[in-house]
Amino acid sequence: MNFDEIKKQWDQQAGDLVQVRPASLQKTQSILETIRKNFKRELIYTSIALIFLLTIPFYEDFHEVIVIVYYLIILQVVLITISHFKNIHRITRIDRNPYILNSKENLQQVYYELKYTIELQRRMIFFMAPLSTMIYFILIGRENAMQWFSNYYHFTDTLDKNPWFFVWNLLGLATFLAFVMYRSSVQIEKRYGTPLTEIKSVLEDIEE
Amino acid sequence: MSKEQQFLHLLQQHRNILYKVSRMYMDTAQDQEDLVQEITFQLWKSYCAFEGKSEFSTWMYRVALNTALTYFKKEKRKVDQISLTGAIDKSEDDHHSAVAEERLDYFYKAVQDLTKVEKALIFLFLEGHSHREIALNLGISEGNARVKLNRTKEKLQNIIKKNGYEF
Repeated sequence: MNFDEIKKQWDQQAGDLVQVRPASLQKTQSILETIRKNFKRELIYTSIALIFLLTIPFYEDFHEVIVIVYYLIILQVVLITISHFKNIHRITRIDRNPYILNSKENLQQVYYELKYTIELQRRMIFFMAPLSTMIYFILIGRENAMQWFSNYYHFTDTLDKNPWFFVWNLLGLATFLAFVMYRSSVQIEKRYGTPLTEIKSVLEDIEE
Repeated sequence: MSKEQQFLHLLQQHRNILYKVSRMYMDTAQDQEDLVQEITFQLWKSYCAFEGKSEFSTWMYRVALNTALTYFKKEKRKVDQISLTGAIDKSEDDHHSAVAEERLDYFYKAVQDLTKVEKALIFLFLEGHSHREIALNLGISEGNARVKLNRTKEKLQNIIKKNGYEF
């Protein structure tokens, strides 16, 4: 192949077919813009979910102790959620300028912003695991929740009288937690995993 | 003239950069259009920071390449093999031009088998950048840029040979 020939033709390309539309100044599909969009969407969904969780004791017949425990858990969920969204918000506020950075620096910045977002999301899943356990007891156990707590409190007695309680209860809990954590991990992977892998591969390619 | 109009005017003048980058990085018309849109968005976003210390085209190269390197095409899209050049009607009289266009088409087809970084190297090389400028743009050493570029040129020649087109 003669690169001089190619270069001659390359220079003659006018780009007349490219349409520069003012509307293009508003629309984007970049991964960091996707994080921004997802952040807004997650904020709305989480707020709706929290409002829903706050109203549950009004129409469910919970024991008054359970109601207090329930609201304490929800308070924790709210505090963790606020901290999580504050961190994500910090990422979305970073004003990147692809002109100042060279390609390698730009790739590194995108990679670490994306990786940090994924780590935050993963950490959120683990933070939520103990809380999900409590929610499992209260929402799945419903009117039996108090009895379940009592069974665990009087562990040896329950083990003598009804050992199968622990088998079914823990099996149910494990399934519930596995489902919640698996679904959340899949969601994170679907949103950010593939772009992260691809950016890592480009970064390795430029570094080698 | 408003800042937006000024920007669009400059972009119109340098639209060949958008065209070349989009053809280098995407193989279908729809993906090329999407990439052009994304580059345009990123250029506009960072236009405020552009102080005119360098040429508009120099600035545009960097933003366009950085965007292309971190851009991912949409999945599950119906494949439309017609590229942006597909719309050109070639006159039969203009045989020379048609051959040249076909050669360029084969070149762009072969380029699709290169990695994103290799595409950037070839792009900057064809735009007439020196090894030093390529290295500065990509953030690698000059020696590395030279080695990488030579390897990429060799790889591209092998792809074209493998595809059965020699020029």
